[in-house]
Amino acid sequence: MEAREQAAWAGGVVRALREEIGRAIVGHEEVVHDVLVCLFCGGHALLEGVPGLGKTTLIKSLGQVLDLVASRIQFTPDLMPADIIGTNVLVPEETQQAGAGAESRRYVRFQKGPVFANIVLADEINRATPKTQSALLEAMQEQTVTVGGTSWRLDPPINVLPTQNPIEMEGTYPLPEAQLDRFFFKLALGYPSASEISSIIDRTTGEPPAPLRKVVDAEGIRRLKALVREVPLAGHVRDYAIRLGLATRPGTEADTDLVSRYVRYGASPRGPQTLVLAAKANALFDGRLNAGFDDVKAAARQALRHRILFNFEGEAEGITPEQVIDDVLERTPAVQE
Amino acid sequence: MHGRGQNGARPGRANMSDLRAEFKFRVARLRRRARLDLLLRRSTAGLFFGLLPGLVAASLAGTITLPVPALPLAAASAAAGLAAGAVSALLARVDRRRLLIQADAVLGTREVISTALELERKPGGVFTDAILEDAAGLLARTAPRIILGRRRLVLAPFALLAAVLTAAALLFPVDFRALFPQRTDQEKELAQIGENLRQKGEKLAEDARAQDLGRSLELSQQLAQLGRDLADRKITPEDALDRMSDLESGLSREYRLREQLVQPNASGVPGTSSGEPGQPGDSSPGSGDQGQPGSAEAGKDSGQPEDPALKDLGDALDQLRRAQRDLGGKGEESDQAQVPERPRRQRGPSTAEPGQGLPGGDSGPSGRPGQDQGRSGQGQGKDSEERPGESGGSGVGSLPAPQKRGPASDIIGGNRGPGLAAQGSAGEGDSTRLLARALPEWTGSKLPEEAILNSYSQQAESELARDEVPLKLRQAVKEYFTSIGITK
Repeated sequence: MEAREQAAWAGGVVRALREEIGRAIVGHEEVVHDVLVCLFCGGHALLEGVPGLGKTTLIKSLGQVLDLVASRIQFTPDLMPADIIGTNVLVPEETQQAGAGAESRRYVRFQKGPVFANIVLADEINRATPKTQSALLEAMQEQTVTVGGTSWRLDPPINVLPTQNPIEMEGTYPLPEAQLDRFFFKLALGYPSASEISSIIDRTTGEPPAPLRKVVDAEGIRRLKALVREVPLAGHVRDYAIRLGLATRPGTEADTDLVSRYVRYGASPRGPQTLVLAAKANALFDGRLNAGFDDVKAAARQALRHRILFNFEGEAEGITPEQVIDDVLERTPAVQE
Repeated sequence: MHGRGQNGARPGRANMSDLRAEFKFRVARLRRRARLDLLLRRSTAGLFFGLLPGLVAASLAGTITLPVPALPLAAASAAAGLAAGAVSALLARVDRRRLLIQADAVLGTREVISTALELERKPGGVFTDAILEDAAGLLARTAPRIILGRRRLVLAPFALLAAVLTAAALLFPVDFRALFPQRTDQEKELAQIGENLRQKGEKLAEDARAQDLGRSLELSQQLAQLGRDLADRKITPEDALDRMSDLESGLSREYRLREQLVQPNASGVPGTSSGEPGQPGDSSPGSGDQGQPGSAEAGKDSGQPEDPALKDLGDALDQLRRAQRDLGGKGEESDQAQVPERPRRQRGPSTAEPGQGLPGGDSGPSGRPGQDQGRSGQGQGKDSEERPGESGGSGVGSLPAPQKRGPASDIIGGNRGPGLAAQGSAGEGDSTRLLARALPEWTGSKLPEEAILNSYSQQAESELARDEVPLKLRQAVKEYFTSIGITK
């Protein structure tokens, strides 16, 4: 297939995915787009939003349209790592000789946990203890699970989509910055508008909607993921992504006044890395053959907001990461003189 | 043609080398155009800056003698500037990457063209061919002028103007010395006079401010302002003379007032009281009555210590009069040799008030003969002498002075001298009447009040004794002095 046709195919797949998911999810088009970017870039997205905004529905819909295995884990304080990754259990082995003389032997068998799925919804991940959180995060990063000295490889694609509730912080274990940095995107779900709520009510209080159709199979997903990485990106666009990342760090030449005053730690190298990859995906999903400055800018908020850590003054002033990112975008020239 | 397929057609998509060649060709064309723009810009700038020395040389050619003729100098300078601009443009590097980023920005092509530049050097990827094709197509469809923008030769009009001016300067040489004539000696002297007056006025103003003398302060400031205006050539010498005349009157009056307070027996205004009668009570009979014109040394001859502020005032007056004299000589020397006599005061019959001298610079070298002849026995020596150097006026008082002194409380200021009656009959000569009911302001005088009042009381009694004074007025004067507790 020629390059243009491949790009057109990719754009068409993503459009179809969005339309099909849109049948189940009202609104949140940008979040759906960003989840797809994460999916085809091989990253994981942390979803943040109050209950009832359709996070679980989104993940389930994604599983249906992609023909992938989706699972959901409700994180609670007493959740153990084994509850996520699985555990060894003793299983009796039946012998050929039945009857009184028959011997009953038992052996250990690995019982896979819910992490063995392609799309894992880790609901309210900040309610579990750090030990349990890190078990999931290890699976996310390494895509393997080791139990009792045996490593089990997870079937790709693996996309973990944890959710966080920004309210009710009592008795929670917020994710440490090091673990937050592992997420490709952090997506914020806002409240739907009145018209969207009206659509939600129409859809959920009438006849049950028709099941979602499968848009793309595992092979298609693999091809699309490979195609994203083929999208070329000019050197000066890459430099721009790097400068954006650097600008979020206080004490660098590129930092802004807001950053130097309120930010304690800025984006790690994963920040620009994410920006470049997401820019490529954005360009491809748009049916274009190369990524540009606008594609980088479009990914900046999602890619950088969880990588910015405020100092005391920033916390006290109530500065948000979005303010800092917007400031950085405004003050960082696309082309350096 | 570079990178073109056969018959100039766009290269086939499958032919990678053709695609690269086509893209390179388009970029090279854009680059050549950019260099041409740069060449024109820098050459224009070089020409402009090269023309400037030529313009200066051509402009000065009429004024000074140049070591090299202006025309070859201007031509060589312009040529050198032009060449320097052109060479710098040819040596400058036209950055392809920057050029293509600009193309992307202008065309809004989302970095397709600049990405193609990088892909052109790299081995092909999935999208390389398509991007190169797109970029080459975009560059082919777009005129370089659109990408590079309108050619703006900002300095071109200035270069043209400089060339025209240079040519004009060469054709019509101008001697700049003729445009800026130097100040004449006379103007310099006027400026010096003004400066002197300003300094004196400011010094006087300081003293007046320190002593809280309102009228003196006002006069001093006027004097300083006059000096400034004269130094800055804001006023004509004629106007300056008018203002000086007014100021002189005021300062004279002020001087006399203060002198009387400091030295009740002194009444001569410096340099003005040529032969003016002295104050009653002075103990050098005869010495002052002769009125030696032009030699007065008022105050000093009396042996009394001179008040510094009074001296300053006297100096200022001297200065002003000198300036008047000088200015009259400078400003009107073409018309007349001397400063015309200015009406500094009203002059009435000398009988009006006995013993009143004429203050100010109008007392000429001849003084006021005859005025000081009366009452010689009262000894008004110090008052009758002029201050040194103040003999510039023309003698105005050729008439005998009044025989009697007038009431001192009635006439204090103006041109009244001390209360000595001069010889002469009433109704002759000039005099000035000024009525001072009270001292205008606090002068800082430490003179005992009783001394003045006693003197005034005696004068009042003698005057009251005259037959001409109506009875009812006699009573009023008597009541006045009785009320203040002096007259018994």
